[in-house]
Amino acid sequence: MKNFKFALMVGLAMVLLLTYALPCGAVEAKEVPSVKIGCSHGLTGAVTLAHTAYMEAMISYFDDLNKRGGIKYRDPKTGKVEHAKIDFIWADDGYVVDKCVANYTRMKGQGIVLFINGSVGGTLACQKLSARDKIPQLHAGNMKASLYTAKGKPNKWVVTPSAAYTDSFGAFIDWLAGEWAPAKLPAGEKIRLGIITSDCAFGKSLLEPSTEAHMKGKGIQYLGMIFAGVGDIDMTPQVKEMAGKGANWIACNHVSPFASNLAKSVGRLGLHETLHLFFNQACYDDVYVKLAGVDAEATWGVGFTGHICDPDPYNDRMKQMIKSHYPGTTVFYQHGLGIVYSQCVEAAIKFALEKHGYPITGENVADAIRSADGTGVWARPTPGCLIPGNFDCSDPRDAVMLHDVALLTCEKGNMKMVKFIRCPALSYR
Amino acid sequence: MLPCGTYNRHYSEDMAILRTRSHWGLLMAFLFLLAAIPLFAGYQWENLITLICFYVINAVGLNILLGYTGQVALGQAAFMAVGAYTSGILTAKAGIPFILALPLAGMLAGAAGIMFGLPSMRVKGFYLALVTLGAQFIIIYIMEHLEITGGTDGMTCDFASIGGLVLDTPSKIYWLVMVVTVILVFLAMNLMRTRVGRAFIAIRDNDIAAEVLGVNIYYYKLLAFFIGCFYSGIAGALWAHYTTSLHPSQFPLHNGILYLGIIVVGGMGTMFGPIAGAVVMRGLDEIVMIVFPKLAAAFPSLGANMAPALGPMAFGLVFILFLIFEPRGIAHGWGRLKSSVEHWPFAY
Repeated sequence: MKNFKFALMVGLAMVLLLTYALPCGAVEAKEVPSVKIGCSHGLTGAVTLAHTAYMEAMISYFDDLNKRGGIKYRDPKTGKVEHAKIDFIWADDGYVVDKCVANYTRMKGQGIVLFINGSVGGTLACQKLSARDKIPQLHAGNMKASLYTAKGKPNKWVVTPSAAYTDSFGAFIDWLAGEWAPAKLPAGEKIRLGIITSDCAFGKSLLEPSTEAHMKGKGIQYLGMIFAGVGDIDMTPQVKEMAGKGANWIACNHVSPFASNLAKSVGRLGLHETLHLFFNQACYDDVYVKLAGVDAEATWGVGFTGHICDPDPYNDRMKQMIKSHYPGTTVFYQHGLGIVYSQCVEAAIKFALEKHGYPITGENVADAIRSADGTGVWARPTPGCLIPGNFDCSDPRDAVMLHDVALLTCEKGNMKMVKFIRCPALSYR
Repeated sequence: MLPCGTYNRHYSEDMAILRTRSHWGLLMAFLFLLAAIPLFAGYQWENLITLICFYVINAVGLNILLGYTGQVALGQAAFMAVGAYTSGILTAKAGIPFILALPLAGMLAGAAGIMFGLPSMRVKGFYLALVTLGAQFIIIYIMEHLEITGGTDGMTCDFASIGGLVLDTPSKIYWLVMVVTVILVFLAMNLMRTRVGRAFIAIRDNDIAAEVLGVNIYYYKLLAFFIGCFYSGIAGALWAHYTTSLHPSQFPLHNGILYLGIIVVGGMGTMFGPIAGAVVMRGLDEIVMIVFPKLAAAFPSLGANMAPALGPMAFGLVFILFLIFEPRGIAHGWGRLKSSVEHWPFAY
């Protein structure tokens, strides 16, 4: 026992020494020049379900890209066609901010030129660090614009590469007032919508003053927001309260289990004929509908942001992965956020390389993102907010690339797409 | 343990933290090394050690509370949030200099600690742990709903500046955090040699006996809460100006439990323990973050799902191993190692 303790202590010390030595290790020589991209996501912890899917997609995307020779670009100095591989450095932060900061700093030390960040808190914590280090952050948290700006000024170092939740909510509002109500709403009835979501920036993000004004403009009565905890909890009291206010629609912005529980609670109260649900979250498969079981049949109207029906091999791979994780489920679509990230990275690096040649810096990448307006990838920075049926990136954030918005319905357990809005900014593909 | 041939002949010698010239020499060399790290080590090292310092400050504070006074506390992350938001708000919105905001942040966090420490007179052990757990939820809830904190949108503040010198580079931040950490560790070491420290230990060992001896246990328990949370507040204030952005999600319960883990692994009731624990736990984090992506690359079947999941398992395993084989933590193991080296080749 005594020797074991001694060996344990010595062993631990050696492992630590080795660990601390690792980040300073020599960089392997590479035949093809590589561009280092860092990525920190919550692969364990609260958001495992979503973040591992994104990460799997990114890993396979860059793996495949590298197998094909990497990013092909024309060198501005020589005029020759060159290749650069993506050295994708990824790590788990458990959705914990200090780990995210640790990941960022370690990756910065490894020479990354772009950092993909999976959490709002982490993005905030790395906001000024990345600005100081001139390394742009990609974060698809899609929160309020204020999070991405420094004192109201555009922050070029934080870029959101996807549709804001307010976008898809705005699309839903348009559809609800323009298509659903004339077809389904009894005469004399009014759309009365409430929000049940978790008490965090993520949960609340579909509601901004502009979305509220948009609802009002469309004649929708907004009933307010009720919070519910995250996890496998019963939301019957919240649904009951919202139904008591006369709601015929409840919107939420959350991940699969939350949506599933909400659907169950509606079913439990027997309100599935009168109360419809809108899930604004980018769920990457129909698992939550299946999880909700019979109660999910009550679900009518599923909002969704993300790539859909995109016939590329990565999406197929994602579908296979989902099917392997959830055998027996029918995969209609998946959240393509990992793919969106990957495509953004590929496009931004390609632009930076074509503009500056190899090697590139974080500033080159940020400039490429900003200056690519009109070339098809990145949106123009325009003031104002997104909503009224205008998905053309008019967002106060500095650089936004919108991806597609799809509205799906699930009636009697059958999910189908009712509206698909392809963002013109994706035409680069 | 003193080197062979060194004896304590006066009370002052007995009380000295550093007893011999070699102790002083080693300490000076270590401090010099720490100060010089930004001059020869890279950005990663500076940031890694800066993050370790945040752990150390929090763990030392918790150690005063739990390791020395025996008051279980799980809400250290929330008290860190109090300090962080206090300093952020005072500097960004009230224009108060950082040098003033820093102690004020610690004081406010300490005051919050007193408030949540009030039940310690009535409850102890797991029940007190539950009270401090409540502090975590209540404080974070308040942060999420106050306008001045930016609610769930968070808020930004500026880099710290002292006398016109803006501490905006990793090296400057490193030196700031390092200096504060060294001062706080030094103060904590000295605190334990005072009447207050002995009262803390007396309460931890047997609060009834301490009361019989004339120790005002209520006062000292609250003082321990104040000091423990003061440390967390200082760590929070430094964190605020390290990241320059604040959000309630930066202070999760997970961190409070982690600080507890740090002092368990490092060794409760010792001053070396929290430091060693912080280095080990941060080291484990680094192992997880570096090794598991490589593991996933070597074994693609593990994917991004399984490989990181091994991380928490590794943490669990380390805790279990320590609880079984070295329940008194690294500090105790280190003491025995030193002892065996000093006595070698004799067994004792």
